[in-house]
Amino acid sequence: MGYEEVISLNDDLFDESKLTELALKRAISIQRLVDDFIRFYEEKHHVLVEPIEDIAINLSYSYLFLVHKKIKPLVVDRINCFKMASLMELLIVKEQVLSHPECKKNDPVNRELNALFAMTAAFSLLNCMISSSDREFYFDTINNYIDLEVTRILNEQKCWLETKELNEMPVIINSQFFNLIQILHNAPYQINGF
Amino acid sequence: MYFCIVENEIKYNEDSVKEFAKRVLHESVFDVNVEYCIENNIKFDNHEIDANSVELFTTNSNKSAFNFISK
Repeated sequence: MGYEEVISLNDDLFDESKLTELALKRAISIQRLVDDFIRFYEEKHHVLVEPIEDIAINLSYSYLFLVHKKIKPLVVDRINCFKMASLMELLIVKEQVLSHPECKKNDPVNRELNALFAMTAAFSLLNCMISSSDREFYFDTINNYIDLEVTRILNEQKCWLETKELNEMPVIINSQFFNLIQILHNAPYQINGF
Repeated sequence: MYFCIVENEIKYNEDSVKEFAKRVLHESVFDVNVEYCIENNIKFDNHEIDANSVELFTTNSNKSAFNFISK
């Protein structure tokens, strides 16, 4: 199926000018995300990072385009923040939007870089969308087992993002990961389970 | 035609951005059959907050997220 045939699906609901307007607005926020991440990463790892050309508007427009085509038809009104985070994370990994100048495109170093950026984007988005977004997204459950396990789970997620097939976009099932992390983050814990 | 974000003085090629999005859609393999869901009126969980009503990707939030996943 060519691109134009794909675009014609649900065209009666597709308002391109509205999508463009929203994409431009969101691109400003996404540019801030990109700038912040590159700064944090370069400070921590002392290596240079380069984004793809027009990274913010491309991510913004593509994200909204995919939402319209693949996610919006599945919900009554608004998609939940976990699906938003999931889609943003997978989109970044798919397009490998950041790179180290000295490395080849599919180099493991670049795969890790984009996995970190993708997870940062997803959790930052959740941070802004969830009701308790005035506090940092951190785990301090006073239950060491839970905190250690969350760290291990985050590393597993990162490994998966580094090694998955780039074009596969399991948005729905991946959204459950963020949903569960947020539940863990918000659930009250007692010391050592007592 | 060019997009232009006046505040940041950033210009983009509209055709190029749209082609990027179309290519991403064309290449992506999703885990849900959207047509099946539409035909059978299957809906997923809704959400109350309108993303347009909050500021996304604030620097504080970006920093918090980076620290969270960089442990």
